[in-house]
Amino acid sequence: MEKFARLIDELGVPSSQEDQIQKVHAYLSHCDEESLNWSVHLLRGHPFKRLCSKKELVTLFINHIEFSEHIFEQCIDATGDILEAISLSYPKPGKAISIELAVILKEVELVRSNKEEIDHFIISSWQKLALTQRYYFNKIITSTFRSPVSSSVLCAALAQYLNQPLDATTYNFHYVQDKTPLRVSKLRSEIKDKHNVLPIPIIEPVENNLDLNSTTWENHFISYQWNGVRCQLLTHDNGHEIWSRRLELITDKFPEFNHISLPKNTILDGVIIAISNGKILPKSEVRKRIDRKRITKKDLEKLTMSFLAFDIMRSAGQDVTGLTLEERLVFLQNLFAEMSNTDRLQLAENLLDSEFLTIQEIWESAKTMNSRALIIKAKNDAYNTATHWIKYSAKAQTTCGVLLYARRGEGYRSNEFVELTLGARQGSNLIPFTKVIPNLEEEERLAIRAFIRENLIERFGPVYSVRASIIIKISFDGVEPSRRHKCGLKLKNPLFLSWEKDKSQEDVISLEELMNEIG
Amino acid sequence: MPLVEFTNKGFYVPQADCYVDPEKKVERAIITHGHSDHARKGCGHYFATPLTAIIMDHRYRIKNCTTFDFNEVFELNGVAFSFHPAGHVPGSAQVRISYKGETWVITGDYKRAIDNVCRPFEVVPCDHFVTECTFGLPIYQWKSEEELAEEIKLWWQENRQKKRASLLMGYSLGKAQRLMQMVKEPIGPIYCDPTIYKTNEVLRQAGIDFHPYELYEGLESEMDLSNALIIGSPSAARSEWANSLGDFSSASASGWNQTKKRRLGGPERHFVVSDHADWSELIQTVEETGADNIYVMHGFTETFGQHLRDLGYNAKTVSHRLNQQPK
Ligand SMILES: [Zn+2]
Ligand SMILES: [Zn+2]
Repeated sequence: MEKFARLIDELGVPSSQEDQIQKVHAYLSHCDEESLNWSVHLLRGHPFKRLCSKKELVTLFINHIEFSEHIFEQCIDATGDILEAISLSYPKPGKAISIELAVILKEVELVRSNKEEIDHFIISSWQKLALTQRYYFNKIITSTFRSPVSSSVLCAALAQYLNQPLDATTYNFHYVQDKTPLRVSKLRSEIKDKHNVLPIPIIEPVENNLDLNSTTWENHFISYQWNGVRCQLLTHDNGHEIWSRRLELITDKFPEFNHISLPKNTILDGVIIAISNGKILPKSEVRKRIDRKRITKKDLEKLTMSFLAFDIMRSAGQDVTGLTLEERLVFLQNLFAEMSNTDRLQLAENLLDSEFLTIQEIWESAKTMNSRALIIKAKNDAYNTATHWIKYSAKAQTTCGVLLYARRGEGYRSNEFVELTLGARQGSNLIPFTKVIPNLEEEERLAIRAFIRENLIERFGPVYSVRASIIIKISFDGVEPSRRHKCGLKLKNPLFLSWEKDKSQEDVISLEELMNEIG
Repeated sequence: MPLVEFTNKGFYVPQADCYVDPEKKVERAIITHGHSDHARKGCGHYFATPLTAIIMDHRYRIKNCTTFDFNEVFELNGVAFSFHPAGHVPGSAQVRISYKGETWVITGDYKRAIDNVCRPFEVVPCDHFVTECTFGLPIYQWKSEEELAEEIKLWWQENRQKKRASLLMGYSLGKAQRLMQMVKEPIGPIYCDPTIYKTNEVLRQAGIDFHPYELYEGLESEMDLSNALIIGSPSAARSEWANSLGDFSSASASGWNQTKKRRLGGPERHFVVSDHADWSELIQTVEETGADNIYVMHGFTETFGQHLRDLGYNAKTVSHRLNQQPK
C-alpha cells in the first residue's frame, strides 16, 4: 500500500508520458504478484466493489474521534475533500505499518458480509496506515478511486514489464478475460498464444444535432439506433464468442446463439435486442440478462433475444475492414443468403431503401420502434476507429441562467445547498425561471457554499437570496407555457450541467428567447 | 489589574510597563524570536535571548537590546521575566512572566519536533498560557524528523541519479537551517542562496554547527550542481537566481503542504515540514503546562479554542490583531 500510495502521489504531479511510463514500470517491477494484479486492475480504471459508502464512512469516523463534528466540518473546509479530511485527521499511527495492497484487498473480501466486521476492519486499517495510504485506502473501499494514468501509459509500462511488444500487449490487455483482478501472468501467457480471431475496436457513433432536411442522404446508410446492447459476434475454429461494447465476453449469457450457422472466422458488428410479443423492449432487458449469474430455461422462454447485424469486419477469414460500407454490406447480405438458419440473426436494413420517403419520416417512425436516435453512416467509409458514424437524436437543449436563490438542505445535508433557482434576463431585470439540483464536485460545492455565504442578500428560512453572479449551465428537453409560474413558462426536465466560471450575465438567456422555444 | 492585557499594540504587562512581541512602536519590547511578525523595528528598548538579539541586529539593524540566556530571570518593576526554549527557530523563546504568585507564559511560535539546529522546546508550568495555534486543526499531524529526513534524502538521491540538482525551498530563518541539517550525512555538496548564506554565517559565528555549505549566487553558469542540494528561499527560487541552476528538481517544505489542495502546481515535490506544533502537540502542550486559562492566537483560533473548551479548559480566543480582549 505504501508503494502504491507513493506511485499515485507521484503520478499526480504533471510530467511527461515517458516519465509516467517509467514510474509505473518501476512500480510494477517491485510488486508482489497479487498486488501486481490488483494494481493493474485499479490503474486500468476497473472498479473495486464498494465496501461502504462515503456517508457510512463519515458516520463511522465521527463515532470514533475525540473532537466535535463542528471541528470535522472545518477539516472538510480546509481540505475540500471529505475522504482526505478523514484520512488526515484520524490520529496517526504510532508506527505506520506497511501492508501490501493485495493483503488489504483480500481482507476486504473476508469482512464484506458483516457490518460489524467491516467497521472493525476499517478502523484497524486506519490505525495501521500512514496518512496518504489511508487516503487511497478510503478511496478504494468507497469505490471512488480514479486512476491517474491513461491506458496507453499502463500498456506501455506493462509491455516493458512483460518484455513483450507494445502492440501485442495492448491488444491482449483489452481483450484478455479473467477473473477479478486480471492476472498479469495470464496476460503474459495469452500474448504468447493468442487465437486467430479477436474482437476489434468498434466504431462509436458521434452525437450530432444536424439539420436532417438540409442535406441529401443518398450516399448514406440510415438505421434506427436499436434499443439494445451493442455487440460483436465472432466465430473462430473452435466456436463462437459474443463481446459487449465494453469488451466483456458474454457468450454464455446468450445460449440462444449456440447453434448459429455462421462460417468460421467471421466477425459481425450488431446489437442484441430483446423481443416480446413482437415488440422491442428497452435495452435494460438485455442488460438484465447479461447481469444474470445463470441462465435458466425460463429465461430463454420469457424473451426472445435477437442479434441484428449491421456490419461485417471479417468474412470467412477475409479481413474486410478496408472495404467501403457499401462493399461490406454486400458481403453481409451474401452471408445471410447462404445461411441455413437465420432465426436468431437478422440483418439490419438501410431505411432509405424502404418504404419511407424522407429522412424526416424515418425519424418520426423511430419512436414506434422504441428508438431514440438514428445512426447515419457514409457508404464509402472503411471500418476503422477514424470513421465517423453520426448519431442523430432530439438532443436536449442547453442554456445558462444566473443563480438567484439557493435552498439549504435539512438534517444531514443542512450544510449543503440542495436546490438552486436560476434567473433569466428580462430587460435589466432577472426573473426566476427554473430550479435545478446542483451536481458538483466536492471542491466546487465548497466554493459555491462559500460564495453564497459571502454574497448573501437576504435569508428566508432555508432559502438564501444571493448577489447575481454565478452562471449555471443547464440542459432541458423543451419549454411549455405555464400559468402557475410567474415567468409564464416551464422547462421540461431541467438538469444541472456545470458552473460556468468564465461566463458573465451577458451569457444568460433572456425570457423572450425562452418564450420562442415554446413549441 | 490583570498581569497581562491584550491591547492593540500587543501583549501588555502594565505592572512592568512593557510589551511582548509588540505590533507597534513602544518603549520597552520583549521579543520571542526574530521573525518579522514578532520582532519589529523602532521600539525604545529590546529584551531578547542572545541569539535573537544577533538575528535582530542582522535582519533589522536593531542594536538597543539587552540579552538574557534561557532560564535567566530578570525583573522589571518587581515582575519576574525569563526566556524558555520554544524550538521554533534559532534563539526562539517562550516568555514566562510571574508576579505575586501568578504565572503567565506567552509562547510566541513553537514546535515540539527536535531538529538539529534549535534548542528543543521546554514545557513551562503556568496558570495562564498564551499559545499560538497556526495548525490548530486535526488534519495537521506531522511526521517524525527521521521520516522527513529519509524522504528528503531519497529525493536527493533520485535527483543525483538523474543528474539533476535538488532545490529545496524554505524560509531563510529557521526552516532553511533545519532543512540543511536534516540529512545527517549529506550525499553531496550543499549550496545556499545569498540571503540564507548570510543568515547561516551569522548563526555559525554565534556557535551553531552546520554541515559545510557554500554560497550559490546564481551567476555561475558553468558549475556542475547535478549532485548538490541547494537551499533557497521561496522568493529566490522564483527570481532570476534560479535560472542558472540547469536541470533541477524543486521541492517546497511547509506545514501547509499537508493538504492535496496546497500541493497543486508549483514545485515538483512537497514535503510537509512545519516549524509549528501540530494538532496533538498543541493539545499535549496545553495539558503539560498545567494551566487552566488558555488564550489561543494565530491560526485556527475558533476551532482550537472550541476544542479546548470541550476538554474543559477556560479557553479564550485572542484576535490576531490583538485589538480586543479575549472572548
Ligand atoms: Zn515565527
Ligand atoms: Zn509567527
